[in-house]
Amino acid sequence: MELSLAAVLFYSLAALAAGTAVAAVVAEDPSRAAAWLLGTLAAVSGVSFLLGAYPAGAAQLLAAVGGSAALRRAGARPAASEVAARLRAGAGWWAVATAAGLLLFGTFAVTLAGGDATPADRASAGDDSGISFDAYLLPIGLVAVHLLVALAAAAYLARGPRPPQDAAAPQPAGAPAP
Amino acid sequence: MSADVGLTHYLLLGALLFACGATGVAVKRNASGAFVGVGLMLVAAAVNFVAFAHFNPAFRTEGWAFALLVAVLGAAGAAVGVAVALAYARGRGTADVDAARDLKG
Repeated sequence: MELSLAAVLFYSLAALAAGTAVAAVVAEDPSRAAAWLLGTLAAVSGVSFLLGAYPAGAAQLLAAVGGSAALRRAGARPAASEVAARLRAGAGWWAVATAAGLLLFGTFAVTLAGGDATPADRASAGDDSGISFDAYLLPIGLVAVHLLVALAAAAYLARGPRPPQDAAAPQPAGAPAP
Repeated sequence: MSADVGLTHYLLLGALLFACGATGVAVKRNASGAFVGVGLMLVAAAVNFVAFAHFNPAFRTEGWAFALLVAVLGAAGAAVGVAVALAYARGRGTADVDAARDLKG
């Protein structure tokens, strides 16, 4: 049975995505589950790159990093130091993460350098079979505005508690101490 | 014997991811854990869109565009959802979704 390089990359990325997805569901700690979700999103981004969907893969990677960071921050409310202590990884986890990262960047290298021509290459070569998002500029613009409003609303909702009024009000000079 | 990767393989991957996400939403009691499941389901949809776009050239532009929209909307939804859960947990002292009965009809 012959396995092409693309097939090897697909099976590796699929195993990474499936394994991290199952781990995200099984994990009891929300911050740990969010960290596993980051692995799933990165693997799916690699699958998108493998299929030549470069814009979608890049957007998934960016959204994965930002969303997972927010999830991890909110999943462990007590204190940042406690979160860091819970997410501290040993040598084995570092090895797994390094292998996953190398797999992801290997996929990027294979698809961008040795695989299909990029849309820019096709455009420079006069090939009109590239992708044009002209018909979807308005929906994509609306979604971008929606994302901006959603992030502003999220920042407003997630703001910390206000300090008490008595502590914030300046004390007049010469006033007796309580 | 060749072992080419076809559309079925990508659909199976998407189905597995969706099943994991649905299980997480149904099982998790913590709101943040439930949002992880929602994220998995959105990722599964994106896999399907990208796969169909690759194997059906007539659907290529639409598949890529919808995959982009799914990624961005998933990030926006996760941000707002987690912020709401955080505000609720700050006020009630718990992020247990079973404890949120204020809007129960």
